[in-house]
Amino acid sequence: MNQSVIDIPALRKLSTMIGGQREDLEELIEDFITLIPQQMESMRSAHAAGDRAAMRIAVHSTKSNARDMGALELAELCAQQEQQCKEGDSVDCDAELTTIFVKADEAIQAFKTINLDDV
Amino acid sequence: MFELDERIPSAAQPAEILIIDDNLLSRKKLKLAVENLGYCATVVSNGEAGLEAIKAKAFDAILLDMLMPGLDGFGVLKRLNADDTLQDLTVIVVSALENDADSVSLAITLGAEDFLPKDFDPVILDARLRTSLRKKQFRDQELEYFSRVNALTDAAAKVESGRFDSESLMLDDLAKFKDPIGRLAAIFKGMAGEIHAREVKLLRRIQTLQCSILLLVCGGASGLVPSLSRMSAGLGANPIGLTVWIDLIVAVLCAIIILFRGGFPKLSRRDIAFFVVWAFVVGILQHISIFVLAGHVQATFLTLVLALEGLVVFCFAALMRSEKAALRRVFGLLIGLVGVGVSLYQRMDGTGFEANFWLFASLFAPLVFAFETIAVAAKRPEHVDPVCAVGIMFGFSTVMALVLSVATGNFIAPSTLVSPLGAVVAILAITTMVVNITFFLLLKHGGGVFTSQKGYVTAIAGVLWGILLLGETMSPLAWAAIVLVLIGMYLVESKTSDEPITIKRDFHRPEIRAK
Repeated sequence: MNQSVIDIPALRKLSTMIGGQREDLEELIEDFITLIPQQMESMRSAHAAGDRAAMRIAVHSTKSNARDMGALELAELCAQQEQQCKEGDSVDCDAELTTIFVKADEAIQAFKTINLDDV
Repeated sequence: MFELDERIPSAAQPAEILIIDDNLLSRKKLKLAVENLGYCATVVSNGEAGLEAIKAKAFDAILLDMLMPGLDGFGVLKRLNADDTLQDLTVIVVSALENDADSVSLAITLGAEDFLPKDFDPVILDARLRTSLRKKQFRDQELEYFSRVNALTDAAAKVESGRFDSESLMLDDLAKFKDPIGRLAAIFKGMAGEIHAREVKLLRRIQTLQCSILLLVCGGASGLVPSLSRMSAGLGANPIGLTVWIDLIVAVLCAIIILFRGGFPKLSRRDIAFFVVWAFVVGILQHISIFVLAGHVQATFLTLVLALEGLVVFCFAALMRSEKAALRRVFGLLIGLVGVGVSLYQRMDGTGFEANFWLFASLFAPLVFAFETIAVAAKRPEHVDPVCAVGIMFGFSTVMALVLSVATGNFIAPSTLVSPLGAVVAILAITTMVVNITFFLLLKHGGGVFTSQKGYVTAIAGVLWGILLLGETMSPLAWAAIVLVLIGMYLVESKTSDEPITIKRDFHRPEIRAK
């Protein structure tokens, strides 16, 4: 399951980028597990308030974090949502957000059980 | 021109990188990546905090996220661009806006040096940072180089305006560099220094020559006063009445010069108090005492006694501890006193009590002259030129002498002056004016040290004037007494402090000044 949600080469690239220290990578993964629910909450709030700018920042940050950590499906969904926000479409995007939340949850679960020896 | 430092970053001093990113994960990732490349990283979470950090510390480069709440990356770039001191900072945009060409383009237009996606390759980050830092180092060295060129140009402008001294040129630090600018500065400084030394030497010679002429005029005129005073006493003029006319003529002559030339100085209460005291000492005490003494002692003797002023000034200065009472000087003082003693002894021979009284009374005259020298040297208002100063002083003394002459019934009627006495009074007044103005000029340009030599000239001139005008004779003993006094004055000599010379000249040509 891990490998279908998390792109291991991307995670390896991140590890190389930060110097290859396992504890540093573990800290970033813990941050990701903590941050993603907060960013989902930000998306929910922005959606409820109809605040497109806040929505754009939230999905932009999630996209960036997901891409860094190798959660590429989540990153791609966030990129699409960000583009919509930028082009001025309404934030009436219940279905898209639901998909993002599901993928975010999958990524969190995947990181919770990941074996860093594979990285 | 100059070489770039190849060590970027060096182990001793790694480059300082500021990371501005609102995303915690991105901040941590960037910090670890930057530190892994050997740089020092500082992180802040928003644009405002970034600007504060930039103002508080010098960074070599900034990694800037664009999409942030509050002040975003574009806002930060605009603020940096608007500040002259910050617009040259190296900014590399690190953003997940890689598919947003417009935003990337705008960031670069606003001054960003480069762009990197968030999932950058560390090798690319290192290459971009190295390139940016190399550019910054080149720019910093270029600025430093131009600042040194400016310093050299400033020094050249100062030389143009006539300042050659090293303190004005401020090339000492610049001349320590081993590059061409440093060598040029060293040569320039050396040549300017040589010119400055030559100019100072030349100016000193000119100043010495000018002051020597002033000294001869002042001393020669001073030596003439006792003879003229004795002549006027011989023509029956009373001392107080004579003082009124002499002071008045000097004051009027000075007033005419001031009116013709224009520019009467503003006087403070302190200045006026100085002139009143000076007027009383010179216009009243000095004049009356000289005129009284001239009626009773020979002009040559009076001159000799007045030349003791230099010794009295030394005694005052030694007592006030402003000059050292060295053995040589004390010895000189004693020789001078022996000379006066010999002169007194030679003149006392065969004279009555009254004549002897006036001989001894004349010994107090140098005290008044010494007091004047010390007071004028120390307290004269620097902003008042010599003619004005002398005119104001004699104006005050005329009033004092007039009151005194009327009160004592010693006023000399103008009709009395239509006689040989009038001619003597006129010459005496002009001589007095010359003495006082040249004395003031001597103090101003030659200083107290040089002016103290006036005594020699006065003594010699006084003897010569006495012989020439009055036919006074001098016995060999009297000549010996004069020689002793002169030797005494030589040994006492004033301290050899030297006033610094400032070269004032301007051949400034603004059209060729470096901008």
